[in-house]
Amino acid sequence: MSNTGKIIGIDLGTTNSAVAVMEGGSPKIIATAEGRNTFPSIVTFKGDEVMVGDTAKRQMILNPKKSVNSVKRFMGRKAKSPQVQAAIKHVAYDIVEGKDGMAVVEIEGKKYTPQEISAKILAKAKADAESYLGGEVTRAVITVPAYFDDSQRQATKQAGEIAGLKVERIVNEPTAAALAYGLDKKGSATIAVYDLGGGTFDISILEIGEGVFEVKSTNGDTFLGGDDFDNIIIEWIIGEFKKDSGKDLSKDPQALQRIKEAAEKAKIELSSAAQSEINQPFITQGDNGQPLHLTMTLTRAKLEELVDELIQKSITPVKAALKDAGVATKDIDEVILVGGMTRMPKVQEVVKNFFGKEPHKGVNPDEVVAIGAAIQAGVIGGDVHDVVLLDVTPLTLGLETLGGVRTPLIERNTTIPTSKSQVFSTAGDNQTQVEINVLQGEREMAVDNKSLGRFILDGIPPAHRGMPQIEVTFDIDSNGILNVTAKDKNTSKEQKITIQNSTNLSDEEVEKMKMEAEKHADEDKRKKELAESRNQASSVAFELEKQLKEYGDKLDKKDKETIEENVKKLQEMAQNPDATAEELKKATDDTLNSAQKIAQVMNQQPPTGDQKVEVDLDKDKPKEDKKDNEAEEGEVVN
Amino acid sequence: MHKSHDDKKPQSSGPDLASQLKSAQETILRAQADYQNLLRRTQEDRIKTAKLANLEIVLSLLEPLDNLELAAKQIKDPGLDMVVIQFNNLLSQFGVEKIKAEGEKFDVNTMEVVENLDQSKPDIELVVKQVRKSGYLLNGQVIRHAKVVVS
Repeated sequence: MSNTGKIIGIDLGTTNSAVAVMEGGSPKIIATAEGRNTFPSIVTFKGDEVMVGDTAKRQMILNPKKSVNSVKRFMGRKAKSPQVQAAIKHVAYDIVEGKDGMAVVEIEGKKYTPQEISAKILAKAKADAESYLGGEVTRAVITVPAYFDDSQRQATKQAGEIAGLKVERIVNEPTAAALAYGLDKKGSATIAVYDLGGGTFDISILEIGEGVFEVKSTNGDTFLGGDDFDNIIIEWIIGEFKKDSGKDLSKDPQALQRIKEAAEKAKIELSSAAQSEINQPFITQGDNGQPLHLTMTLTRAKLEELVDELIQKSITPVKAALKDAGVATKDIDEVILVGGMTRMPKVQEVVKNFFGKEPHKGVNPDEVVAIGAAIQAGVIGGDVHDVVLLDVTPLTLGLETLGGVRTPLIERNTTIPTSKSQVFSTAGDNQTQVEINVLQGEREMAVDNKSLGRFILDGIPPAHRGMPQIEVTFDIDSNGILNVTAKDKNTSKEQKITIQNSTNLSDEEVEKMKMEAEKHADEDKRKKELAESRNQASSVAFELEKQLKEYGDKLDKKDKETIEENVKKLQEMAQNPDATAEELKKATDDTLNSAQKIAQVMNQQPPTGDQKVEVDLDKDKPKEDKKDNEAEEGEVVN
Repeated sequence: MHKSHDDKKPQSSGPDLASQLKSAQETILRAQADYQNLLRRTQEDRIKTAKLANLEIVLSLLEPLDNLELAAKQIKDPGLDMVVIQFNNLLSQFGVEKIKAEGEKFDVNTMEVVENLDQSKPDIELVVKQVRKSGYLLNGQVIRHAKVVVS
């Protein structure tokens, strides 16, 4: 596997982790092997095997002492520290004192540093990224909470190294979030980052000035997160059911599991709906063995009432953080929301009311930190100097073909520089020149578009119509200069025209043209269909006329007359400006059917040679050639 | 008049142009690489999308099916059984398959353990005693892991 040279951005979270990378100038979250955008930060030891992520989570219950979750709580900390002692109560595995009194995980007598455990998580992120990018990844930017001290940051860097990654930088999570929202471009500002994740709450006050971020203060609640919100809903459901039926479902593991899922589902639904139906039929049995059903409605209002205390709990640390930073709420210029729980409308409302401004929430709150890490990675890796914003061509470019139709070559909003070729042919026998009329616009008929220029390619050796191969190439360079070349593939003779400023149109002009096209869409479509059916009719009549001249005497006299008559009628209709598309199509089909006889005769003998027939049919316009083996649409990439 | 031999050699200030050129060449390669990756991924996504078409609908249909099967377990009614069979048949027409779990060895790829009744038994020997929530595959891919009780 060759090295991709890319630096990935990793959000190594307490509950969940995510990885992202810069591609083509924008950050992209890399999906895991399981197809999700984030994965649980869980590592399970199973004999010689180590499982990470979703697979680890699915069998956590089998080995609670061998399943390590939330190891981030122990990174770079001493075993005896109050934070570790508090966290130990929340995990099922053993934490003991290791080297230098640091907290280490003990599994079946073997000690693992939190770095070694985290390294397994980072290794999975690395592997998923390599799979996505199709090459080796050896460099990363990893995020840490703003309050991480030196020891914790070092431990995180070590974890990366153990996983085979050179950690180019350790970035603060709130800073990464600010990068994801492009706040580093704001000049100078004071930013509040409100991060309510699965298990922890963090508030950070940052200052940005001249592209440099400074952390003014941090605060939070290490045991406040989405899980707590779920638990409140579960308690409420159990309580309501007990009121109605007298049964306590908390003692029933089967029912409890269903309620847990229902609670999470309701929580998510209530972020967009005003109420959620919680229906779990046959949840348990009554005293007489009769089935009992759980059915209740949770309204958003009720949910907000239930979780109000929790949300208020998050405001206390916010106030403290502001005080420590020495700023007032009015001094905060930008507010950012991070973490899945911030999807809840009530949380957004409380934050908005507290700061008196609308928080940034456009980026997926579960992914925003990883995205920011990727952006930083891109800057370090040289992917993003000044983001190259490529131009697009605002309107469709094409040329005029038989029947006054506009045939597009380059669709509007195509990123430039670009090049497109298509092979055309002549409309009439012995046509020795073609005129290329370069058109810009969205209408179907040539006359309704703007002509940017015209030129003629002559010197085409006389041949049957449709035989010459004229390759027309439209090439737009990065400055928007359009070069149109027409080349006769047989003689290699070519002509070209250079058009400046094909992309220089004001937004209004572009809008106007688009609206005109929309307004006339149906009408244009009909006109185009009519032109095409007319072309077809003429073409068929012309061909049949030739065939009659060649094979006519081999036909039955009566048949010959019938066909001649049909062809004549068809030709007249094709010239008739009042003929409708349907009439033309029908006449064409009928004529073709009646001319089956010629085909039969043709198949019995070889053709005798070219007939020179002069037909005046938009003589100079190139015909759009639909024959598969001759006219190939090619994209020319130099 | 003679033609210069190496058109690509920068004419003026050597190092500056040379490094600019190198940097430009790098950028081109990266852009091309990104493009090729995008092509490959678009192709893979297309295959994935085709395989997992209807995923959202199927997943939401599994819920009422769960409850229907629960009902059929508790209420002995041939009519109800018919409905359950019909539902399952319909789903299999769309490539949905129930994960065989009861009585099988525990397989982390298709199952999730919600309760372990025998803590002393080694993992390898654990067998599914009860399926709390059925798991399903859509065109061979797990769309919902089975939630099982093992022992």
